[in-house]
Amino acid sequence: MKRTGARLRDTRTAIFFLLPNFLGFLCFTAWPVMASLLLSFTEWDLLTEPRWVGLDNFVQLLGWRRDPTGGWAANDPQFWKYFGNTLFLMLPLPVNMLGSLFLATVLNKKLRFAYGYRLIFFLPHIVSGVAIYYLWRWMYNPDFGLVNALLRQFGLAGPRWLTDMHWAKPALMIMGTWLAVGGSSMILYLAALQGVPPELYEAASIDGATAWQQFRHVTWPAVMPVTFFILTMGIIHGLQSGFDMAFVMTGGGPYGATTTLGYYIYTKAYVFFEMGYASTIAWVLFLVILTVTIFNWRRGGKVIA
Amino acid sequence: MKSPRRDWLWHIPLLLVGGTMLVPLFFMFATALSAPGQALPVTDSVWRMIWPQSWHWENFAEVWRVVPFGRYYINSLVIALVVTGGQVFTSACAAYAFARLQWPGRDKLFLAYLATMMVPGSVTMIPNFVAMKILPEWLGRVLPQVDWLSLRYLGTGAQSPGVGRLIGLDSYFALIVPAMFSAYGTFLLRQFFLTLPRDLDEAAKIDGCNHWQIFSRILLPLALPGVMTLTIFTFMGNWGSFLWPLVTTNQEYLRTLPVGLQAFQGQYGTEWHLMMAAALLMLVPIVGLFLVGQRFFISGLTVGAVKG
Amino acid sequence: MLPQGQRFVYLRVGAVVIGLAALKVMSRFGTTLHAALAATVLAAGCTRSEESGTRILYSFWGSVEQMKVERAVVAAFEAAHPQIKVDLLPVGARYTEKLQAMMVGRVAPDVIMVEMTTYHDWAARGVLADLTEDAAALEAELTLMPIPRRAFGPAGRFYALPINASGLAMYCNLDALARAGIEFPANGLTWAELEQLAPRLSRRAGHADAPTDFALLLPPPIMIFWAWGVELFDDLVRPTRVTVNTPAAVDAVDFIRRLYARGVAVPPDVTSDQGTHQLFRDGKVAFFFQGRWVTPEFVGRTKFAWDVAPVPGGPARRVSLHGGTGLAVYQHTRHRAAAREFVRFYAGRNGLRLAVQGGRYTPVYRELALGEEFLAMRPPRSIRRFAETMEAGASQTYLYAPGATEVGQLVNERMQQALAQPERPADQIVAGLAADLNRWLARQTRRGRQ
Repeated sequence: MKRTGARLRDTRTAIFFLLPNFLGFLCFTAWPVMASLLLSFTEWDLLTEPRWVGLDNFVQLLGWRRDPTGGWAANDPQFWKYFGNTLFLMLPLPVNMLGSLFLATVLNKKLRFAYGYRLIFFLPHIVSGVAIYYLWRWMYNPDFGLVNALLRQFGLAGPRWLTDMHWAKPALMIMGTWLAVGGSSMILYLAALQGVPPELYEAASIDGATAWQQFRHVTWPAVMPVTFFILTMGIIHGLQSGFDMAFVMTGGGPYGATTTLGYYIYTKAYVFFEMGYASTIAWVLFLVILTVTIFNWRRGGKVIA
Repeated sequence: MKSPRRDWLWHIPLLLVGGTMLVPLFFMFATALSAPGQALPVTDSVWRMIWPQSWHWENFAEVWRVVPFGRYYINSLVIALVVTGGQVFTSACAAYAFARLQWPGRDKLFLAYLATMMVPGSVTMIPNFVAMKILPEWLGRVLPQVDWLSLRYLGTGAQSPGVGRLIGLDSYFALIVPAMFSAYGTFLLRQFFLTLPRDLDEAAKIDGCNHWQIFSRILLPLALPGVMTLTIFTFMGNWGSFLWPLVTTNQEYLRTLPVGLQAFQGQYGTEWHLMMAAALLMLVPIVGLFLVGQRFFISGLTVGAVKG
Repeated sequence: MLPQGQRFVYLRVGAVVIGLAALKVMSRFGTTLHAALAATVLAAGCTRSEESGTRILYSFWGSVEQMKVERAVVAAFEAAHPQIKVDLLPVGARYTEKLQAMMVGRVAPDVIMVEMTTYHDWAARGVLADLTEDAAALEAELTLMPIPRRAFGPAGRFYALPINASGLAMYCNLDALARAGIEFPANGLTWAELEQLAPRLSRRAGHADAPTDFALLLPPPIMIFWAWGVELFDDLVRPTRVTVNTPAAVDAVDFIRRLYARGVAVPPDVTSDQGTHQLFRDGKVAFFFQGRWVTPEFVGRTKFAWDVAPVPGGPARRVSLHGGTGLAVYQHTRHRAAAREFVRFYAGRNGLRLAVQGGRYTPVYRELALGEEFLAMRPPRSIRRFAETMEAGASQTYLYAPGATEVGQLVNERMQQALAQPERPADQIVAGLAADLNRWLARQTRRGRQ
């Protein structure tokens, strides 16, 4: 085959095939990444002209200063508070993973109705979204909601949940577990577990291993790569998430208790129209995620979903 | 080796968990069927909260009357369909270019695609928003004959313009076009194409097919599971897309379902029975789509993770 | 809107393209492309024909009662101008943010009700039309009072016409005062006198026979600063220097702390966001600092007689805090003439007379504010005190420039710190406030906003 001729033809064809997608990629994905960085060096409210401010946004976001009343004060205390919120809301990750692993293990036992169970467990994940957030908001209603009614059955008086500063985050975490435990993590664990040949278990029990030892030496190694993957994806996703939930259920929470970084970026960008500052926050978030990804990659995990 | 007698014990936690999953959905259904203002206080029995006490099926009809729910539905449908169609089509074509064609810079470009998948949505969303805002002003300077900011009616009323603006914020363009391009789709389909054997390609080439025919007649049908997966994921993702429609549209006639659900929150309190009914109506296509395309969905979840 | 001729050009071109597409025998891809092209061209050409008369959109905030007032004014306007129709757009929560989003999206209403602090922000950004001419036209027959003039036209140019700009007064529970043996301070007290009287009105401070739980809610701290002669900046229209770090400011902080420490003022955790006026309405506090807008909450809803007095004066002066509401025209409106007509009507004699009926506004013109019609609106009997807050020097606000909201927040946060940490020396608090304001001013200057 004539190498150059084929390559040239290939290139021309490739342009046709690639063009729409590539144009879109350029305009709406690649260029915006650079534009966002540029924006973070400006201040722009979309009604007046943009103004170059250099590193001012970053200093304002990440800097600290001495306060005359003693001690240090952050230039943007809200940023650190919301960062803390974001991290706090990611705390249930290990719990959710364990729950998914448990469900996957039980489902793997090939009981009757396993298919039905799997469908029901997966249901919350399918329907998750704004509709379900409204449902849970209604469920957390302190006077008419199901959650307090359930607590009442057990003789407990439920808190005000989403309007209570101390219970708003736990409320979201509980809902997060309900949504996640039977979801994609469970499916991934199931797939991993199904990849373990049953002879291994038989051999182990012949050798006299207890259930716990079987788990530790047969199940766990099979499941560890998936666990690592889920954890990393969970962290990366958790760092960016929280907007839909907070907007629908708490509007940022009583006194900013449920505002995550994603929500903070939203308010800065689309409520107050401080496009430069919002881009700064987004880029800092990106750098944090990048750090997590590189850390994961170094440890030998897979880079991409 | 397994003792079947002990197996039924496992049904207990499974039933408990299954119940926990279903109970909120029952509550949703019961609320949707209740009468306005008749929400049961928490002091009442939990069973009465979960099982519908009254069967006001007309709530589902009322939802369409009280707010322009029909418009929201049509918007959501049209936008999701167009975005899905566009995304799948462009991703498939691009995936073919990456998987089957040789051209300079191919692998570097693919690496660039992969790299952008790491970027959080909020980073790219802001410049896209800004672009949507300044686009009509720009175009107005380049092509001043067309009034880019005015509304187009296509024969419908002033309250509900058929087309609205051509471009810019508060336009269908802003809702559809930026969502149509995703690196994820290209990645997914490229992986699928790579698993397909090249012999069929070669045979077709010998028969004199051009690339387009190889792509459309041979590869696409073979890659149908991957295409279906991408279609389902994209549709479901776009159906529930909340932030982008929220910030790019201000006008009622452009609302999609997730954003439109807010309309049930009145100034003096939310009409929960209507809200739940509307939420259920919004979920129907999703659940339907899932039931129909289950295996694609499941395989889509695993293919990304298990492969590297 | 395309003129007739151009529209037809597009239609014709569109028809030709569709025709070609129909004739051509092409692959699916090709026809789709043609169809898409044709559709776009047609869509570009399609518009609605111009209606006779103009419709303008008017946005405002407020409750159901406010809607009634607006409807009344609009009805009167439409009767006087039959060719202009006004559509009402009540916006509930987050008025400022929603309007800003509409401005960014270029779908903002033609006439916008603006609150004074956001007015300065928006005017500085150039999104409000210049209405100086209309203000001058209205002043041909009426006299604008000094405070509304300063609020909306500090540099001589008006970007909104004021419709309401009075200051806070002191609502007094007359029955409680009588029971505590205190005379109604018709001409206003001093803060020192108030500090002395307050325990007799505070059951919660340990005086079991007091008629009310607390004597007062803490007033906005800025008013105390002003009363002690402290100014935040050298100039409220174009601030260049922070001037708060003075001994008088330290005295002011001490005073607020004393008032709070005595237990005569409602602690912050008892008040809820919106419901502070309920405390007065239910007879729990004897003195309540608020503006005219809250009067309808009390008329006929209290079990006691009440009246208003001027706010207390301090060692230096007596000055109240004022707000303001105005009507602006969107800079990029397509119906500027009609919008200006409406704004001139509303902010003029006819519109204001109707708007004032809602019970929340104080008319901004001397003839109306000190005229029979307004002064006869009782209760409160001393309604003229609201009108008097519009005289020169009788009240002021944080800034007559962009950023007033942030400045207010900085002051309130520092005062919260002062109350939460009573052991911290007051001069440190004042120094902290000065540092905050200096940082704010530096940022504003760097970003070219001042």
